[in-house]
Amino acid sequence: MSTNSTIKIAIVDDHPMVLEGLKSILSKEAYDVYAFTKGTALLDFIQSNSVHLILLDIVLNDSNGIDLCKKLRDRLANTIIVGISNQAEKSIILEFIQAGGNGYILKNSDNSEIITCIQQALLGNLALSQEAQRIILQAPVNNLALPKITKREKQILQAVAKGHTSAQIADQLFISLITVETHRRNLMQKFKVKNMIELIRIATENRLFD
Amino acid sequence: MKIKLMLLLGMLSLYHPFVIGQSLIPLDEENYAIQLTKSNSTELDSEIKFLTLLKTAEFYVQRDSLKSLLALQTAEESLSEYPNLEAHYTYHLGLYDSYRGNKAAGIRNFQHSIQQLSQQSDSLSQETLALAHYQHSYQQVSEKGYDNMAQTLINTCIPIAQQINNQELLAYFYTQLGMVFMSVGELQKGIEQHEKALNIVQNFTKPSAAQLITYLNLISNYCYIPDSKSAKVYLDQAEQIVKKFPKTQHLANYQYQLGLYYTTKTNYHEALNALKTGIKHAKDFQQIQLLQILHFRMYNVYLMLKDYPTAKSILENLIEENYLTKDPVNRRVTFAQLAQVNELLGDFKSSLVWLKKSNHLADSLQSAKMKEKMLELESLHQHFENNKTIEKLQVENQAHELLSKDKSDRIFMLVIGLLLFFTISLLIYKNYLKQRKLNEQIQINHQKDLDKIDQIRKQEAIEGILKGEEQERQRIAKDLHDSIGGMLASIRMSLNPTLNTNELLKIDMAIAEMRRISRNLMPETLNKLGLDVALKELCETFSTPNLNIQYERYNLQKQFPFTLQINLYRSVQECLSNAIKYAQATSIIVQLSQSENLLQLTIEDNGIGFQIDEVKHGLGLSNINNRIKLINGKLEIISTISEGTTINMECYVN
Repeated sequence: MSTNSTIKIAIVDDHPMVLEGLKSILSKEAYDVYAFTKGTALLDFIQSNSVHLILLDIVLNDSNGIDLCKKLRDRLANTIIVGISNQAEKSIILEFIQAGGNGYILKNSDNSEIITCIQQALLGNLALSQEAQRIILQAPVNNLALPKITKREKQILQAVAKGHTSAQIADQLFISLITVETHRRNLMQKFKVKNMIELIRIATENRLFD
Repeated sequence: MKIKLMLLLGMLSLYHPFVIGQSLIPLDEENYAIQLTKSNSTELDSEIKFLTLLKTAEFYVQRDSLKSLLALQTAEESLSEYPNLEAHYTYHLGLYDSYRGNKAAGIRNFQHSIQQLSQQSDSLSQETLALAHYQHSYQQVSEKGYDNMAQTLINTCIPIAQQINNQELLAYFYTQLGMVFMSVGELQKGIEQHEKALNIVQNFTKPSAAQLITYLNLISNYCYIPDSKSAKVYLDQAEQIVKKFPKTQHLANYQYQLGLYYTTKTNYHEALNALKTGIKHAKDFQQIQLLQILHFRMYNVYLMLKDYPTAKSILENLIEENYLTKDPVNRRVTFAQLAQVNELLGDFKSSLVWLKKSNHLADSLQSAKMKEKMLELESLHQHFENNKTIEKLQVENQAHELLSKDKSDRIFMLVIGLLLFFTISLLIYKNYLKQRKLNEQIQINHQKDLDKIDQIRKQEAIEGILKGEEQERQRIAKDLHDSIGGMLASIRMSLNPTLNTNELLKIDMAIAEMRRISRNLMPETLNKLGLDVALKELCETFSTPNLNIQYERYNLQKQFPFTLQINLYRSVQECLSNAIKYAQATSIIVQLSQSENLLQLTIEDNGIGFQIDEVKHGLGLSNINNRIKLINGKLEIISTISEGTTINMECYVN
C-alpha cells in the first residue's frame, strides 16, 4: 500500500456526485487523488504539478474528453490517460485511444473493475473495461467488404470508365462540374486509391458497375 | 404819419422803372471818355477800334445822342468787315433806340442781337448776350410784367454772368433783380437780392459803378420798408464814392436817394434841397427820365407840406413836358394825382376831369392789356386744341393698329391654345395609362410582398416551434443526465457486486434506458463532439446484423453552427427511422461531404421505395423539409418503387 500513496491520480468529471464516488473508491486504495470538474482547471493544475494518471470523462461542460486528451498528450508524454464515460459507442472509444488515451472505462463498471483497469494502465497496458472491450471487439457487419457506392457515384464511375471528362459528365447528369469533381475526390478517398485508373480497376474487378 | 408814408409808398411803387435804366459805365467818366476818344484815333487794331466805337455810342447814349449816333454810324460803315461783331452792334443800336424812346425798334434789335449772340461762346459775346436779354425784358416790362423780367434775370442773365465769371455784371444783375422785387412790393426779397450783390461788390478793391448802384438801390429799398437807419449806412457809403467821383452820372440818382431818405425822416426841407440839387445834375447829364422822377418826388414833398398849388404846377409841368407821362401807366398815375391835388385845392371840377381822364386811361389800358392777354390766351388755346386734335388722331391711329394687330394675335393665340390643349390632353391620357399600368404593377408587387411576408411569417413560426422544441429537448436531456444519471451512477458504485447481483442488473438496465431516452432527446455527442461524431454514433446505434449502415464523410471542417448541426442530425435521424420502419432496407449509405463552403448530405437506402406524392406528409418528410428550409438548404427526394430512395440535402456553411 505504501507504493500506492506516492501515486498521484487526477480525475475530471463534470458530475460532482460521480466525482465524489470515484474519489472515495480510489482513496480507499490509498491513491493520492486530485478531483476537478472542469478541463481548464486540470490544465492549470498540471502546469506546476505532475500526476501519474488522469481519469478523463468524455462529456465535459467546457470541452470534450477527446480534444482534452490530445492537448494533454501533447504536453505530458508519459502520463497515463484513461477515459471514463457513459459513452458506449465504438467510434468514440476508438477515437479516444487514437487521441492518445491509454484505456477506456465505462461508467457502468463496478468498483473492482475500475481499480483493476487503473492498475493495468499503471503497468503500461491498454486498459479497457469488459464492456468497452466487448464493444471494440464487436466485428463490424461488413468490415472487410468493399464500401458500397451510391447510385450517383455509380453513374459517375461508369462515365469515367467510358472516358468522359468531368464537364461531359456534368452535362449528362445535369449536375454542376463542382459536384462531379467532389464525387470523384470522394470516391478516391472511399476506396483509398491515388488515381481514377486504379479506382476503375477496383470497380471493374469487384463488379461495382453491375 | 403812417398813413402819409403809406400813401407815399404807394405812389413810389407806381413810379417804377426809372432806376432800372442805370448803366455800368465806369465811375470815372471823364477819364473814360478821354480814353475812348484817344483809342478811337490811335488804335490800330481795327476790331478793338470797332468795339471802342460801340462803347463810345453807349457812353453818349444818355448825355449826347448825337455823339452816340455818330459813333454808331461810324461803326456801321465798317460793319461788313466784322460780321462776327454784328450782334454787338445790333445790341448797341437797340440801346440807342430805347433811350431815344423808340421802344419797338429797341426790342426788335435786342431780339435780333440775342439770336445771333446765343451762337457765340466767347465771354464778350456772352456778356453782351446777358445784357441784351436784360434790356429785352426791361423794355417789355409794362407789357409782360415783372415776373417775366425776374425770370429772365434768374434763368438767363445771372447764370451767364456766373459762367463767364464777371463779378461786376453778376452784382449788377442781383441788384436789378432786387429792384424788380422792390417794384412789386416784395421789399424783403429785394433786400435779399441787394445783399447778394453787396457780398460781391464788397470784395472789390476799387469802387465801381455796380458798387454804387447797389448802395443806391439798397437806400431806396430801406427807405420803402421804411428803415432809415439802414438806409443811412448805405447813404454814407454812397456819399464816399460820389465825393471821389464828383462828375459821375449817378449824382442825380444819389441826390434822389438823399431826398427820399429825408422824406422818410420827414425832414422835408432837406429833402427839397437834395431834390433840387438832383434836378440840376439831371439837367447837366440830360437824364430826362430821372429829372421827371425828381420832379414827381418834389411834388410828393409839396403834397406832404400841403403846398397844393406848387404840387399842382409840378404835375402840370410833367404833363406838358410829356416825357415820363409817355408811359400810359405813369400818365394815368399823374392824372390821378392831378385829380387828387385839385380835390385838395377845392377845384372839384378840374379834379373830376382829371379823374375821368385817369379812369378812361385805366380802362383803355385795361382793355389793351386784356386784349393782349386774350390774344395770348387764344393762341395758347388754339395751340392746345391743335395738340389735342393731333393727339386724338394719333390715339385713333394707334387704336386701329392695335385692333388689327390684336385680331391676328388672337387667331395666333387661338391656334396655339388649341395645340397646347391637344398636347396636354394627350399627355394626360398617356400619363393616365402609364399610371394605371404602374398601379397594377404596384398592386402585383404589393401582393407579392404580402405573400413573401406571409411566407416569412410562416417560416418564422416554424423556426420558432422547432427552436423551442430543441431547447425543451435539450433541457430535459440535461436534467435527465445531470440528476437521474448521476444518482444511478453513484448508487451503482455503492453496490457490492457479489451481494447485489440482481439489483446491479436492474440498475444497469435503468442506466441504459435513461441514456437511450437522453440521447434521443438531445444527443450529447452532437452537443459536445460535433455532427460528424454524432452521425457516426447514430449510424452505429441503428446498425443491426440485418441492416448495414455505411457512414462516410469527406473533407469536413472542424465545427459547424449548432442550428445547422442539429437540423441535419434530426433529418438523418428521421430518414434512417423511415428507412428502417417502412422501406425494409437492408443497406443504407449516409454520406456527408464538404466542398469549399458547400455541405452535401446523401442518405440512400435499397428499400422498396415509395410514391412521393402519396406519402409526402406521412413520413415526416415535411418535418425534414422545414428543417432544411430553416438552414437555407435544398432538399431533393428521389424514390423509385422497388429500387430504393435517395435523399439529397445541401446547404452553405458560414
